[in-house]
Amino acid sequence: MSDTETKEGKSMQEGQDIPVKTEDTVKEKLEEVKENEDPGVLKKEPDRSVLQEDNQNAPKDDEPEEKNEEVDEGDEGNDDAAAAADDDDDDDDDDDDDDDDDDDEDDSKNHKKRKGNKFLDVEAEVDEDDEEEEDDEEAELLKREFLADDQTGIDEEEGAPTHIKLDRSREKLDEQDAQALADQFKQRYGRSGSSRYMGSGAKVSQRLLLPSVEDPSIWGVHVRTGREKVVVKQLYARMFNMKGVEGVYSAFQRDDFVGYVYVEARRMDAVDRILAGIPGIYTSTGKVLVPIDEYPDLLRAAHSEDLQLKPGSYIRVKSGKYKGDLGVVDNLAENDLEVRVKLVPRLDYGHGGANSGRFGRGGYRSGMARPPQRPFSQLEASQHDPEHLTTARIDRDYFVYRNEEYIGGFLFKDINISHLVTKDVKPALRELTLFNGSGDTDGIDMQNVAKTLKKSRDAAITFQPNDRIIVTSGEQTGMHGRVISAAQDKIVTVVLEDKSFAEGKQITEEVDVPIKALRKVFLPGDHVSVIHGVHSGESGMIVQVQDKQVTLVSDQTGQDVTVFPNYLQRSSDSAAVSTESGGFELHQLVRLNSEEVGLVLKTEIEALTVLRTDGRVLRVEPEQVQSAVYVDRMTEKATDRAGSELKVGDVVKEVHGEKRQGFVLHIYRTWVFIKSRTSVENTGVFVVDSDAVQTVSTKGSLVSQAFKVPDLSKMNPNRMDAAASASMTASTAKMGGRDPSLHQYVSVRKGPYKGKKGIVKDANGDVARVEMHNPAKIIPIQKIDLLFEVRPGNYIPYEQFSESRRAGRGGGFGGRGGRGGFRGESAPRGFGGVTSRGGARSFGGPRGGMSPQVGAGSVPGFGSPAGATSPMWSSGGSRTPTWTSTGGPHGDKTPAWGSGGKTPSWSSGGSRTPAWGSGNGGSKTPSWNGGKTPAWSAGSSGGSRSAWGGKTEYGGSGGKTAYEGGGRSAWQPDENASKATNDWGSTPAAGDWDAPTPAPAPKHEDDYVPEE
Amino acid sequence: MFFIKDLALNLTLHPSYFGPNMKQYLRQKLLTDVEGTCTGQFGYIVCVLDCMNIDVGKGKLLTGDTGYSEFEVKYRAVVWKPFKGEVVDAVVSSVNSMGFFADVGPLSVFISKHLIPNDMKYTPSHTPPAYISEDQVIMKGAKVRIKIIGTRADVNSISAIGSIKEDYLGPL
Repeated sequence: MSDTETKEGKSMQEGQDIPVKTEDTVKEKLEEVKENEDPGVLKKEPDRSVLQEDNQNAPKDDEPEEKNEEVDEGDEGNDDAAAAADDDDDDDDDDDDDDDDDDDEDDSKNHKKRKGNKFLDVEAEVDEDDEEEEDDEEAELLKREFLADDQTGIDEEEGAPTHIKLDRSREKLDEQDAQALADQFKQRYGRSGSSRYMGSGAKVSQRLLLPSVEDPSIWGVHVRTGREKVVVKQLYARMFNMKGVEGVYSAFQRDDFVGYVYVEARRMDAVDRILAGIPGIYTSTGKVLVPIDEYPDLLRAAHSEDLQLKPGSYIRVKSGKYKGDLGVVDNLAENDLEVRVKLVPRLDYGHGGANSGRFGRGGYRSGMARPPQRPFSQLEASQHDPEHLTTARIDRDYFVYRNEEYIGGFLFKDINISHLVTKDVKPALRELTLFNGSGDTDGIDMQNVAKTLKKSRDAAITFQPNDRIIVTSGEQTGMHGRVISAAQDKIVTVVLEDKSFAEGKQITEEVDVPIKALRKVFLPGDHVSVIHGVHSGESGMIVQVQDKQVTLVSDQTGQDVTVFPNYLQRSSDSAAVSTESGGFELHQLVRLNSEEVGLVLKTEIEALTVLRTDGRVLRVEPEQVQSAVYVDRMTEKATDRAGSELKVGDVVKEVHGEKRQGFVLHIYRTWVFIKSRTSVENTGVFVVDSDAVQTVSTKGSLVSQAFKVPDLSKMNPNRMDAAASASMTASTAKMGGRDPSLHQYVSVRKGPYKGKKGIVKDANGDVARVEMHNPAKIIPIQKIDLLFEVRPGNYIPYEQFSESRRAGRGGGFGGRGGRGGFRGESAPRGFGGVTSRGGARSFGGPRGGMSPQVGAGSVPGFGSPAGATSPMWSSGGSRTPTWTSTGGPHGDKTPAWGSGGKTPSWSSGGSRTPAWGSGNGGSKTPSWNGGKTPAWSAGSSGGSRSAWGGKTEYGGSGGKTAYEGGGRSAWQPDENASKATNDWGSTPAAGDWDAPTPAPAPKHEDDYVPEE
Repeated sequence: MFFIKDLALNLTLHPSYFGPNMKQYLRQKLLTDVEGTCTGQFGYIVCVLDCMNIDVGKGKLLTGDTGYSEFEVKYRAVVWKPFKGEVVDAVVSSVNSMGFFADVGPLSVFISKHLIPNDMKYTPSHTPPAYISEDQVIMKGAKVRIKIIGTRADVNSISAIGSIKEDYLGPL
């Protein structure tokens, strides 16, 4: 009967098993798995299992009971937590617990039975049946055996058959027994097989580690903020020393959960007992049972920040008078709870009256102005507030003032670690200088700054595609590879190259690796930039690669820099190196204070290295620099020892001392900052007085020497432009009177307003204020950039315009105007002579007819070089074959000569017209003509004729004769003789005309001769 | 390594130079502009070849009212570009505690003390300062054979570092 029953039970169980499983929560599965751990063993060795089970049962009185209890509590815990959330009634819970305990003890057997699967009623029932059945069976067996024995006794008389029967029955019994046992086991633990089947090994094994209801509960206890660690310490002390708290396994606190201490225990009463009487615990708010599924989160290992705290680390005070102030950890208390911090005192020595008293008690209110940070002054303390200055060991600079210790001017204070900001403290350089100011260390401890900065910038390490890497930890340790992508934050995809398979096939594999497990690999000769750390921003070429450090020669300083490979980044070969810090550049002149000026030698993240004019090098933060000194290259000049000019870029040499040689970076007054390539000190930069150096070579000198071509400054009209326009200004200024450009319609021919039209509203010198048609506003524009409308739709450039105006007026007082013009044009130089000949020619030709025309202001005709309107021009062209003949070839063959070279000088005679707008010639002409001096025309014609007719050389003699003869004779009879004579007699004109002529003339003659 | 390279340069000319000697002038300008310069891309232009047969080409007036014209001058030149791994002979130009500089023609190569054999010690007391081992001295003016282990090309300069920490390298 048992057989069938068990089978039924089994089938029933199996039938229900599957759907039940699906309903099961993961947690339950886990529990099952856990529970089934032992049975797994049992199954293998059924014989022992019986024993074991018995054994298990025996001690189970204690342990399993607890387990069960805990299970209950766990369940309850959930309720409990909810309840606690609703209304914190501990007592009820306790009662419940006690009740439960009692219950547990009472029907521990029941529990044990339920243990199989307490969550499933069906199974539980089956189990129960099963167990009962088992018991029944055993009883029956015993009975049977008993009976059998009895029977044997009875059957003995019946003889052998009964024995056989007995044997058989025994055998059968055994058989049955074994079968039954097997069934039992199957029934009891069969599930394990199925569950094992269901679960896939690897994952379950991980999850097995998760806490379950079997584990002790964790209570969260509300304590005073900041007291957590103290309480934990006290709890541990009690755990070891106090009786009746054996149920408490551990106590801990989490930095993330401020104000809570957690106690791990089986029983709540144990927790209560251990917590009793510990100060700082809020008993009223009660305990919170942490839900089991929150254990992992609660216990997840976070990086403990306190461990980072070491003497020398920087902290900030969270509250109190020194709130926000930077401090340096001097020492850590043994209990790791308090830190002795070095601060810069904020003392008012009793000046603040009531305030100071309150400060003394640490009762600083945020609204109050706090005294500035200043080192402790014994003098002030003893003067203003002597009664609070208690101890004084002056020899050690040690004072106690208002119960606080001051050593070496600094306040040393024990502060609870929870009142300190320890993470991401970025000391500003200003604060650090406060600490270093009165200390014996000169300058700033850059190492420390860097250390702190480094911490805050750890995220800066980046991997980029194509970076060569080596894996430093994990399964692939030691593998080399290359980064393929770094799309994720902390994980990069790399291709690993197995070097052992180098020949032939390379095994490559793409794997994702966290960047923590990677190190960059560089080779000597790589050009890299430092992206991180003290040397951040520097770049250089790698000279040495050791295992975990790379040495490079900095491009900026020329010094060796040793850094971790991960702080480096390959920089493209021509990458511009950042040489800036706080707005100041390398090799920039900066003003340190009203007197001191220095040159930036090195730029770092928050510091500049500056070479002062007295040769001292100091490190300052960018904020300390007043401003950059902007020096004009033109003014940045000095004289060297020999009295010759010294400019930026010149190569100079010291005359004394080391006789260092270098090129001038900057000149400030008499100090010359020189960069030498050969010296290493201060990256080769040194400062000397300009008297102490000698010019080796000047910048540009090489070029000018190498150029064996005509000097552009003489030849290139661009260079003359400035002078010409200046002269023009002079000439126009001389004109006086109403500015001719006023109220003219103009069109802009240059600049942003090019093409726009307007009216000149005002004119001053070179600048006209033009009211634009669109946009309707008045804009000052250079007159030169304007085109003037002489007739509707017909625009002429300003030069012509002004000439025409002057000419138009010049009709009246021609000679003067003309002369003025000539004089003003400072330099009818070399070619001027030549041109003059041309001009003379034309004068000579049309002598009679021309003057009236020109006088009449035929200039516009020149402006539009159609030539038709300019009788003079055309006549000049047609009537003077010489000119034409010469002009022709010139024009064709030597543009430079034809237009560029000659005209300007001529036009300079007229004014600065670039082209043959020699209309100037024309416009000038009238003035001559206006002079109405036949002598002149005669002279000129004669001279020119002789010059040209004779086909003598162009330059000198022809032109000269022409003018000299003409000029003198012409002008002397002029009406304003005296003045004119002066002008012409002393003849800047004449002098001008020929003096420069010979110089260029021969050259051009050379050019010309073959052509002619 | 030396190369013969076909190069081209655009020269801009002011109209005042237009004339019969323009081409001559352009050639001259090319030589002064180009010879001895350094481009990061091609290295040092050591010498312009066939300087009499330089193809000046036709000029092109530039737009605008300046009158400038532009000529594309094509020329062949000997260029020298240092390469990583190249072994060159050099003359020591300066010695300091960090290493020494050696000139390879126009190029200045830095040889860090890390790349000098360990037995060569910096001896500042020696005049002039030198790296000295038992039988070798590297001081200013000494001839050394170095191996270039890295170059960096900027737009118009090249810097390089070298090593003598290998067989057959060092003072000659």
